[in-house]
Amino acid sequence: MKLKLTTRDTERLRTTLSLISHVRKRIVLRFTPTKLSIISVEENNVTEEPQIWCKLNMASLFDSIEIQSVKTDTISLELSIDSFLQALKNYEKANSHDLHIRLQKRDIPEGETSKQKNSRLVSLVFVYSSSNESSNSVSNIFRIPAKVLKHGHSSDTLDEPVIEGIDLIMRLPNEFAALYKRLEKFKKSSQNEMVKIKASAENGGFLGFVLEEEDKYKVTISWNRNLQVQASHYDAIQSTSEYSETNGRQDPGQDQAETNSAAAKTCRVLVRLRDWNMASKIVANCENITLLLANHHACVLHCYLDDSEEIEIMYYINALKS
Amino acid sequence: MANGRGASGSPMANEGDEKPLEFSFSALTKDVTHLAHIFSSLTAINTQAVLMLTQEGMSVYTEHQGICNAKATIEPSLFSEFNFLLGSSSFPGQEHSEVQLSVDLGLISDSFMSVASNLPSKQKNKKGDKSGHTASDEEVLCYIYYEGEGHPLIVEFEDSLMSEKIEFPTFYIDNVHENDDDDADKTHELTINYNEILFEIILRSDVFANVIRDLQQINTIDLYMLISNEVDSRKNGTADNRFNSVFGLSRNNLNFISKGSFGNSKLICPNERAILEKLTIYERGEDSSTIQQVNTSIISRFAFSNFARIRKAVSLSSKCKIMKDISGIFSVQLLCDDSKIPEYSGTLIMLNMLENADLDYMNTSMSPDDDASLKYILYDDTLIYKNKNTPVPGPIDINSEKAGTGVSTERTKVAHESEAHSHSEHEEKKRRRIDDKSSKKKGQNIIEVPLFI
Repeated sequence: MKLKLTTRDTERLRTTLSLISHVRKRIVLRFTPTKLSIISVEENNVTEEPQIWCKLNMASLFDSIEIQSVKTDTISLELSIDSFLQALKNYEKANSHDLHIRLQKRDIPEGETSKQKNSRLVSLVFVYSSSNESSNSVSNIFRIPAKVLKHGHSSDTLDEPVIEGIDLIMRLPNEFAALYKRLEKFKKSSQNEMVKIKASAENGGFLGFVLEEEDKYKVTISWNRNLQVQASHYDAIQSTSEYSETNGRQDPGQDQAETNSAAAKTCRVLVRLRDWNMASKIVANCENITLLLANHHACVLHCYLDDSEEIEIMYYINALKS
Repeated sequence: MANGRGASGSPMANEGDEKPLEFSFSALTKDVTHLAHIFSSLTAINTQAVLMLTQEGMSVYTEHQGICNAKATIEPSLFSEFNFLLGSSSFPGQEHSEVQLSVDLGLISDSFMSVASNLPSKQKNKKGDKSGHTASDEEVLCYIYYEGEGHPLIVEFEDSLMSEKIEFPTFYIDNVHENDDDDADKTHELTINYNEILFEIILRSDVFANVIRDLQQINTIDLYMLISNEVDSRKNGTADNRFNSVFGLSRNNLNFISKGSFGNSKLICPNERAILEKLTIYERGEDSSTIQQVNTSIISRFAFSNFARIRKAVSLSSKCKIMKDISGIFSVQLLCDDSKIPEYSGTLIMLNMLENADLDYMNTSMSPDDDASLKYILYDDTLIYKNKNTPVPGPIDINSEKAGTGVSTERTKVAHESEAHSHSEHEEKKRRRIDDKSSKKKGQNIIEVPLFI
């Protein structure tokens, strides 16, 4: 197993991580020669808890890439997102040139027999040089403990969720972040609060949120501006094919027709407010944000880190049973 | 949207009707921030509040265990639309056209705050292009509706981006606050009696807010407030007190004495006119129907926790009047005019609280052992005024690290034993008047540092 990477610009990788670092402490990095997936799932409850999938283009992140693994060219690592983020920040502060990242076996103290289990414990090593005040070159090495996920391990066989039967797809503007702030106001009052999301394609798109706590308040927030209701031709989402099939429509150009047929449907999705709000950082900072809704089923936020559309972020929430 | 503007018709037109006329109230304002501040400042007293709606405006009343209360009066001029419609039959027994409803002010305040702190104009425009245009026309409209008993209080915020409608349940309450009956009934209320005012002070709000903050920082438990306008013995006062004040012979003095876990401290308010604008003490004339000004001293004692509750409101205000009546009701009246609505003269907040104990405690029954040092610090004012030859001590910026938070750019100082030690012990010794014996015995330190604002 071999992983050797070199880069000079870690900014986009760092920004991506910083958008999701508050969600969970540990993430899974899945390296392939072409793609890096940053996955955040709840290990014990993958389907019910929200999932985040960030897909980054290896070639645009790293200048040199060496990945070798038995059978497949995929290496999956589980590590602490904060340590990873901190190592990147340190490198950026050091004003260095190249950052070398490589996988190293963790030293096993002598006397202890290397168990099968231990061989999965590795370090992701960050190496870069910086110069100090007297312009001497200082070599910096950071080791982040990581765990290699073997084939067959639950987190490694993780697949991107496939949402069946997407009913509505709407484009969210960047200003939408303001709505998240309004939803955060009663944070202290309850822990497991739920929010009802209601959406339809009528009148240029409707998107509303209902928060209710008996004897306390009932909040209804709805978006006032037009929301572009999209339809098929949504390559990024795996469910696109299903979507297209179920609707029997292939032509992305027929926007008007899409809107009309979608108008027949009103989507309702009930989710935990906490889960919904965790994406506020993503919505506030990303571009081309799209909300996909499957009635009573799930909602997905899909967006790109920037206009280059090289870094894709997806946030999946499965609906609660109402 | 159920818009109250549509609710036409006057109460007169419905008077003949047998059907009970529904009550309806609706208001529209563009100043969410001002309301957010007012509501939030009152939640420090209690999150449960009573909203009082009348033709003349909206009031919010809240109280804490009957010893501290606050009422904010918001006039209709804050609202660009204000409709109050009350039929005679809908609220039987309510002769006065006032409708009261009990609400959770904490939640209402949170809602207003969440809007006020995320106003569209404040949001940074990511692209940075032509943001100036949107900033000007992006304003949040706030509608408030109430349809009477059994209905929720509805607040709606609307801007070009989104609409938010919040329904707050309302609770039934017995009428909390005055308004009919005569004065006899008012004696039970915690409301100052303007006919029996003992003293009246006009103090700059930011100074008062800083004083409360400083008192809070030194863990004040009991607070003594000494006010005095006695004639300066160094000058020859006339026999007639009125002339003394006219000629400036009397000296206005406002001191706050803190007693708490750190010992006793004294905060002396500067008596410059710009800060302590007015200090008048009254007494009843012989026929007890007239009141006249006198030159004397008065000490009041409070549980500081009540003062801490009013701090938010004080720091919000621009003008502040402090009064006490004969029965020991202490009142702070604040004018908050930070509204962006030019026609609006400001919200008046009246805070009342009960004095803690009778004054005899201070004068007679104070055991020399127990509170000698306190008594000393209370009555001794030789510190600044008699040492005319020694220069006024330089400021100790104990709060310098918090300088950014203060409204006032001027210096605030507070006596604080441990910090004072570390700052400039030597200098401090000159200024401090420590009753060594008693402090050793009692483990108390008394530090006096004049409060320069």
